[in-house]
Amino acid sequence: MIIQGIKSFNLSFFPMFTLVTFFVLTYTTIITLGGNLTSELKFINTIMVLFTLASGVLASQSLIDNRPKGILAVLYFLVFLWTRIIFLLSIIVSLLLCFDRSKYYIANHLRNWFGTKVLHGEDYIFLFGLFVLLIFGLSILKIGKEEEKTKKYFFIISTVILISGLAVQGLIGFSISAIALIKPIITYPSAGYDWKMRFQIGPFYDYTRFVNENTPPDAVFLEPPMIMPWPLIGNEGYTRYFIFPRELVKEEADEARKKKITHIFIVGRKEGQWPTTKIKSKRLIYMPENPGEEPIVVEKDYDPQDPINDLWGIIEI
Amino acid sequence: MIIIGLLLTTLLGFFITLLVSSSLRFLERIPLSFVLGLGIQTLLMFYLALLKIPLTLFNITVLVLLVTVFLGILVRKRLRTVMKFNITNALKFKRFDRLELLLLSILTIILFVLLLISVYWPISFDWDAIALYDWRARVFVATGGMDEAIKRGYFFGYPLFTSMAHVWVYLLGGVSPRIVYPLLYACFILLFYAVLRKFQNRQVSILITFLTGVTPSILGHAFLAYTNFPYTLYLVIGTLYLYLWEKFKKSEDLISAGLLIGLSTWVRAYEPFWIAFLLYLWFIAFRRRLFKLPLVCTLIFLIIQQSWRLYANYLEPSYISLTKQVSFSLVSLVNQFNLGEIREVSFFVLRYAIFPLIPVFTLLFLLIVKGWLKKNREHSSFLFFLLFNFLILFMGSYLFTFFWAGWREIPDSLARLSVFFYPLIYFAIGLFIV
Repeated sequence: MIIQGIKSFNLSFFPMFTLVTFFVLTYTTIITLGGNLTSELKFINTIMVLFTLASGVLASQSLIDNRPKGILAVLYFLVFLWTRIIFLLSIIVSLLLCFDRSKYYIANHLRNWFGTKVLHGEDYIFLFGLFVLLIFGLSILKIGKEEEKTKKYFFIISTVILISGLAVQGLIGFSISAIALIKPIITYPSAGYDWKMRFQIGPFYDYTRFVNENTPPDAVFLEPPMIMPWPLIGNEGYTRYFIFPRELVKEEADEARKKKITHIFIVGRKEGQWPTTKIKSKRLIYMPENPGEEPIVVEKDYDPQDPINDLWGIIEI
Repeated sequence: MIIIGLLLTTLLGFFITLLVSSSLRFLERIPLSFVLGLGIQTLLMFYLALLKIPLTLFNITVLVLLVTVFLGILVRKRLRTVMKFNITNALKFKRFDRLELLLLSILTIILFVLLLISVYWPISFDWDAIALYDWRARVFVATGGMDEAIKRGYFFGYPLFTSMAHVWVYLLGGVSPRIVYPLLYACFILLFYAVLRKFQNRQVSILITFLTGVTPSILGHAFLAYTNFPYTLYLVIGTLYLYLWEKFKKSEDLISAGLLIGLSTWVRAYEPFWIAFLLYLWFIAFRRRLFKLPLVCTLIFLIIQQSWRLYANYLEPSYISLTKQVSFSLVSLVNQFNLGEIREVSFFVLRYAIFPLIPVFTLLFLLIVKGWLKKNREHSSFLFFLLFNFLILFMGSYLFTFFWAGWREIPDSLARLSVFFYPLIYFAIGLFIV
């Protein structure tokens, strides 16, 4: 009886764990890529669910080879039905998710038509548990005759699926990020440092260059707080990298430090204007809209109502 | 210039490996040379900065050359033996089969892509590097020392390994220090393979090394200028050398382990996984009644570990020293013991650190069951070591809640911190495949 149990344990373990693993692979692939339904992710999602389906079919096939009799036949039928229906549903959900990104992508959660979360860790854990219980119970109770060939077959198939699944998961994830980084290398192989920085960081990089070109190295800047809508320029750790050796001071700094301030950043109106109060200034220097143009220098006080404050700039005080 | 500079780093490491061992194979010695060379050189650069000697290309080169020559004198006899070896013999292999060729080709392509990305892209999409690691490097290069960067704040969060490595590349005329990371990745792959190969046949070793190499979290960090991948490398390879010592009892493996684990704390200081290393080391030491060598290994580890800790603790009173960390943890554990919080932390760790590991665990579990059914318990001690690391992860995460109230907001950090479990589990898989 014990030996029989161990043998069936061995027979059922590989397909069972393959299934569990592929559920998890599907989940982790989606989660590790941030839950965003990008076109690549739709592809991965579908591929992974198809993998899961394939392993599910294999697992239930093992039960067909060992068809039980009597009351176990009902249990067997339920497992058989469960594996197929659940996997079929997974595929349908996956394909539905592919139709309309905005409809199913809600605040980092993937949701189905009914608005409930799908492809979420806890749901899978619950499903694993259910499946493990059923399969395990079935294998311990023993169904039909066990064949060496079937065992070998399942060991090879399951291991190959498992290993290739792990490899595919890694390679697809890497390919996505690598392609995004390699495309510009092919298109602009001889691009310079500034172009590359601008490509990755965006207009903020241009602004930091403008700051460096129009202020002395010992300038001390008052910067906005690190809250929306100033997550970059308000982040002292981030901004200091681009404008070193210039220093940054926050509004809440002590008076001694505040006295050192020589300049203030101007954040353009469209990006959440800052400062929002009038400031007595020596002169204002604005970053031109088009690269290559000369900076706009105005000798007057800073007034947030002034239409020119659509532009980013510097207050010299 | 960069190539010459990195070769100099490797030469330093080469003499260190010679000092440690004369019997390493070529394909193991070269990556180990770079890994140890970079670790020790960055540490030397830190000592140089401590002595207020400017971090210039000339000063660093002279220092590295002096240490290299000194080591060269120490190991001159071993050097003669090693130089006698025939490089064509060292690179001679039995013909690869199709699967091996396929896997090696994919790994080579990956490495090529990583190098391409690293040579082309400057530090631009690596947020943490901009905010800290590369920032410190740029300030060191601009000012020649650490004072200015310390004055500007947010300096002591992490030791200086990555920053000093960046300084070296910048001083050598490089635009992007990112190049260091794919080189470390290549070394990691070769060393992982070299150690596993001592237990397994070539095909299995290549397959498991391949799976380790294409692990998403490892590949994802292999071109990012973060501390996560170097930390994983030093910790994992150090652990593998410790295991080699346990199995083959060669002192050179233990010294390498001490150096590597010590250097892991030079990359990230707060992580407590070195505790598993020390406890495991002394457990074996007491079992074998062998104390001299473990003591030397522990000393090497402590010298490297304490270099940064003592300095940070001296200059930054708020820096959590080892004694502060231990005493505060114990006091908090007694005073603030809370079952509800333990449960919450356990779920947090399960969800963000353990759950993504389930696929590899599954494979390991299958092989353990198969191995145990066949009464094969040869590598059980590695599993205990693995288990101990998981306990540290749980315990460390729980204690972290006393230090950092916002722990719930940084699940990504926990996930990144747990990356080193992948290669360790894969290594265990490699051990258990029969």
